[in-house]
Amino acid sequence: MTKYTVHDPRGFPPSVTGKRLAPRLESLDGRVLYLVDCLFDNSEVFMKQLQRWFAEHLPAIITRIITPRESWVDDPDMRKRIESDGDAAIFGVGL
Amino acid sequence: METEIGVPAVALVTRPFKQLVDENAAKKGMPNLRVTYVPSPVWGKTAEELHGYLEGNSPVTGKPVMQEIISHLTTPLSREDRTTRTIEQSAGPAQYGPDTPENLQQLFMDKRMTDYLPIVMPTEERVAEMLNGTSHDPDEVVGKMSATPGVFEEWSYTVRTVAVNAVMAGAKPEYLPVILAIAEAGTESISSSDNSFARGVVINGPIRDEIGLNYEIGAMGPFSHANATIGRAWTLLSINGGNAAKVGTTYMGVVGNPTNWTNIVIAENETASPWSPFHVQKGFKPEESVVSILTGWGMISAKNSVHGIWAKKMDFTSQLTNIFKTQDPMFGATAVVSPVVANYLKEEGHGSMDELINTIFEGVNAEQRHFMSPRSINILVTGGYNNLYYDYGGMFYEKSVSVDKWR
Repeated sequence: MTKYTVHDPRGFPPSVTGKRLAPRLESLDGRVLYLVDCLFDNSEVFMKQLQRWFAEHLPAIITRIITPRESWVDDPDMRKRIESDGDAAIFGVGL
Repeated sequence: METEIGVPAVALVTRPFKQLVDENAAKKGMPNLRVTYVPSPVWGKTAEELHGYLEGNSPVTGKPVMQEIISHLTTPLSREDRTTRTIEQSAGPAQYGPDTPENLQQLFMDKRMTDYLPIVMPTEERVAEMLNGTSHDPDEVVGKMSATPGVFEEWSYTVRTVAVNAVMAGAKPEYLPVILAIAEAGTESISSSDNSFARGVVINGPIRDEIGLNYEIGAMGPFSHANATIGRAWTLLSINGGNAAKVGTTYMGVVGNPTNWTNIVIAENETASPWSPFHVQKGFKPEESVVSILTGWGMISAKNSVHGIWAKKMDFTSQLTNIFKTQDPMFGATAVVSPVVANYLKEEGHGSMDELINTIFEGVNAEQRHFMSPRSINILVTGGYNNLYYDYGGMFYEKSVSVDKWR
């Protein structure tokens, strides 16, 4: 039977540069924790429940819900706000 | 967030996306990104049900969700977390074989380099013949593509990469400039989105007749070698050149979309249209050959709409206005009308496409703001002369690219 040699049809992936994670906090007490609503379906309700959980179980943590100007788009203003007075962030909910 | 402003963060993600998150985080240089998984779905659940997700355990680690979130924000980083280095990626070897056609077909499927239909083997001879369809250097970089821009990494591809995928699709060398123009546009034909999006390409200019594109009966169907293989080449290039359509990582469409196989290829019936061809509306000359990319949900028959009804006196302007009012404004709306319908629309007083689109736009927005601008609306003309059927769907015009530069 005839045998063939064929081209690989794939393109060229970029090289990946490793990124360092931010240092973690010793404690969340008294810290400002931003709850970022990523604007996916029903994420608003989910993030409100997350805020409710912190209020009920860990009231020493200050939580603030924040939303980007639209889904899928980087929002420099939102980032600036978190950078200015936020200590940590939870993004949700990815689906 | 983590690297740019130094704020520790956790991502909450539903369970089905774990594989995608693992691969994508690694490819963005953050393989140890802190992620906590919750059950799926979130959509359609009540507040109390979602509260239950938070009170429960992670479906991935089995640990309490909230305990894990807090741990992610407070556990000190390991040495590995603090490491930064550059990793060179490679898609694979330049060639496979020698092997039998059966084994190579299976290999391509196993490596997810096909659309699961049989392919034409991209041998050295066939690829060389395909490359005769363009004057460009085989090593010239044509463009970049991502499974979803901004979410996944961009892969690049050369003229040769495009030619290899064109061979696999069964295309002829004379189609290559069209496929290269589509490749230059850089739009993935299969989006990673769970929406199961569709893509379309409008082809205008002399190239339509030069390569035998069908723009009469069955124009959007499988009735021309050029239409079928050009559309398929776009998908194969997306799979291989852009690393799209890998289920679980770069593809998450819930129910999938059958048009992803060959896409919605629309060669306009320019001579039968009462208006300027689509590419001329976008600033090109009539004698230029151009591809224009559409993105969105797909196309269905207007007869499927309660507004697309037959009447003794047809009023297509009102039909289109009423149908477009029902379309999600995200992608606007595009209609693909036959030359017969187009001429009815002209007789209804729309001598130019601008006038027609503005009339429909104002009608759609008459009661409340729906579409953002007339740019949300496209009317294309193709198909046969044998009846008044037409299609519509949420499809947005993205960009146009010259075919001639790739000859």
